[in-house]
Amino acid sequence: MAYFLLPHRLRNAMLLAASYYFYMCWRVEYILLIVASTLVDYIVGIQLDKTREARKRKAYLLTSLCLNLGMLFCFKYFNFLNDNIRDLFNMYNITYKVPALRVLLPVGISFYTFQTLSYTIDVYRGKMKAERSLPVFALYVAFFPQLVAGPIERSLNLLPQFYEKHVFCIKRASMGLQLMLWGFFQKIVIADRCALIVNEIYGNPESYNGFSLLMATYVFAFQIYCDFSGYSDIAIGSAQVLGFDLMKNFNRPYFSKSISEFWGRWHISLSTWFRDYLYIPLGGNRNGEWQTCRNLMVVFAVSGIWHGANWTFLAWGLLHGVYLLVGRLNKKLQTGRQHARWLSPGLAKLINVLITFHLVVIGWIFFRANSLSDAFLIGRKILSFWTYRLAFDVPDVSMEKQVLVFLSIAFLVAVQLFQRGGSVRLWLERRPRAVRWSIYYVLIMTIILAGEYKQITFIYFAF
Amino acid sequence: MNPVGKYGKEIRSWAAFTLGLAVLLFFMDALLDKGLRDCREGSVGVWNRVVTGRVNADVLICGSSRGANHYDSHLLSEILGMTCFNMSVNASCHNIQFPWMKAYINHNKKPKLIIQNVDLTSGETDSFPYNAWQHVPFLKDPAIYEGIAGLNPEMRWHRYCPLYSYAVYQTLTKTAVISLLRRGSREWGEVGPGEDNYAPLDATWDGRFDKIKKEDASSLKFEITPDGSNILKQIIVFAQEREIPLVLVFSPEYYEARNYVVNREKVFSFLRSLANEYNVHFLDYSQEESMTFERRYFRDSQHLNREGSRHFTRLLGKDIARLFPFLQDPLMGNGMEHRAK
Repeated sequence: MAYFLLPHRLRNAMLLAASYYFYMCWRVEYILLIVASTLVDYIVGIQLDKTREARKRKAYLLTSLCLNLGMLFCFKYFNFLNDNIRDLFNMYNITYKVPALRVLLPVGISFYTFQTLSYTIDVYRGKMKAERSLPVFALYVAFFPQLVAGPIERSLNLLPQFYEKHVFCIKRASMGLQLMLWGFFQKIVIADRCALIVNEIYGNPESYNGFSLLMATYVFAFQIYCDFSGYSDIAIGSAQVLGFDLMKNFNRPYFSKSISEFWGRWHISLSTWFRDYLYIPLGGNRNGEWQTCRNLMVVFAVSGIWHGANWTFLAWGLLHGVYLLVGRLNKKLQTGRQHARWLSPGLAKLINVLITFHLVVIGWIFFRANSLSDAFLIGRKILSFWTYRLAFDVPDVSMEKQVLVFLSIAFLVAVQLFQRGGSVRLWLERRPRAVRWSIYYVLIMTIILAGEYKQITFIYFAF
Repeated sequence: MNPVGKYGKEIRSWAAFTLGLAVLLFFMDALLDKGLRDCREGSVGVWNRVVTGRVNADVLICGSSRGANHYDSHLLSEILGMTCFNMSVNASCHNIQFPWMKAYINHNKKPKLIIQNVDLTSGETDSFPYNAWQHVPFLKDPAIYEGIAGLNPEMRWHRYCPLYSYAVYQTLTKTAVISLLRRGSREWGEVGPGEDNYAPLDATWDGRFDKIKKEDASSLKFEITPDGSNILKQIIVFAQEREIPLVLVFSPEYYEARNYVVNREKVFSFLRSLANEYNVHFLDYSQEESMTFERRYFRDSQHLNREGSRHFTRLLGKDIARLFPFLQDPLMGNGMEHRAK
């Protein structure tokens, strides 16, 4: 409300102050990193606009890339690289004395770094003019709804919105609040509850049989979806209340019929970022099959590593790269072939969805496992069907909580199936007020009474 | 144009929604509170008995986990021929036990004797109650709120914010719902076995102490803080002001554990001097010969198992009967003139 009561010329300042305060609540000194990134890219943007000389423009771009990626490397990847080099040296009994950096990973660094880079690259490419107002640019970098876990916004979409005079719209605010409510439900009721089971089983994979590990992996698939989608909905909803439109980040990804489609529906802001700023500059699919395959593998390797400094994330990314390559090959082989007569379109679609879902679930084993050896152990145990005991017993997680996990996942799937027929929000809009309000009240009560409040960290905050 | 006029309909709609939500929150809170008040089982059931004056026992037993595990209230009742109620609070220091003692006295008939279990931690205080969920439904009781709310500002949220306790402690939600569903299916009745906080350990020696010995753990030290010692003094004074005889009891521990506490003698000296200062009995069973060397009585170095608690309770019962003959003979007064041996 304070935002709408302020004169338009003061609103951006208020949002910027709120965004910085929001970030400083975590760790005050790390605001300097955002400020540094902001200043560097602001200056680079303006210089790119002023300069026509190709060599200088490239130099400015490289400055921005080096500084931003350098910062990301120092905080996120240095210790990983350092540890691996140390292990390698130790294998050959060579002394290695480079110490580890004792720094905490700044929350959201992967997100705001990519956001500022997209701005610099767009200005370099001439897609847009540099932003002249430092406060507006700073707000673009630090806009609190999407600062710490996306969506990774494009400057062409977000920057102009800071110049619009947003008028309070009740309907828009209601829809924003609805989205936030659904986001909180996904996060607090579903994701955090799933985490109880997943953390226990994936924390001790040697103590559980293949069936329990398989169930935990399925549960993790929903945990990570609800955690991230929930956060995105909260971010998009809160921006909507303020009058801003952020890009959609998830579109029922587990209903994808192929891995390629999955990446068009999962973490859309990141996958489109990699498409536009890595895949296409590498050549995309324009330079023959071999280069296309190379480019895909590079993009997914980088995507994997973006998620975390661990071999498991790289393995996850490469696995998806392989999926896409196999998918491309399969498509080529499929061309001209007809489906078997007994396979109705609906059944074929269902089979494709199930296969895609399970391919993604296999990838989640690597994503969630604490190490590659754990991932392989879990994979081996899951494949050892003959050792299965159809008992899913998780000590430290009561039976009621386990039942609630599966009920909440079933509810989520039901809602998403319902969404195939159209937007749930539009459906709600057409209901009588009593029905709408009852649904909101039930959701709120469920969040309060059935939410899990011990697990409060968003998974993607760690990236 | 006046924004209220422009958005009047929507503002009214939002206000109605918010009001409806507030009503729902308070209603649900009241409903669940009712469920908890009707609860007869578990910790909540025990505390419900206490705050609704449904105990009225002759002998009150207070303590920590050693109090809960060691004092068989039912057996003690048989030995002494009078009702005993074990009100020990698991994993607690005296600053958590004392508010419950006060609440008990406020709502129930004055007991004839209070047995206060003391430990090596008797000079310390808790900064936050363990298993806080069992206390939060009773924060409306002044004695409980005064004693526990001060430990953590969050306790105020539990008292005043509807559904806050149920959001944080889902054990309470489950307890309340089950109790609501069972409503009227059970009367309170007399306190039977298992309906107080006596929690015998059906276990044999678990070997944890042997692991610690192997790892050559460094010795422990238990503080005697000003706050901790004050609380114990307050407990004694509280009982004396109400003319309730009180006895301090140090229940058995496994003999080898003594070697790992560097200031053990200091703690015992503190307890003895406190007993002398306030003229109360101090019964020290820490080195009880019939028990301290016998692993069969212990689950671990500090906690007796069921067999051990029964053996200890028999010893205690005999000593209590001897020291407080008035318990069996009301004509002998209330025994306040008795002195520690």
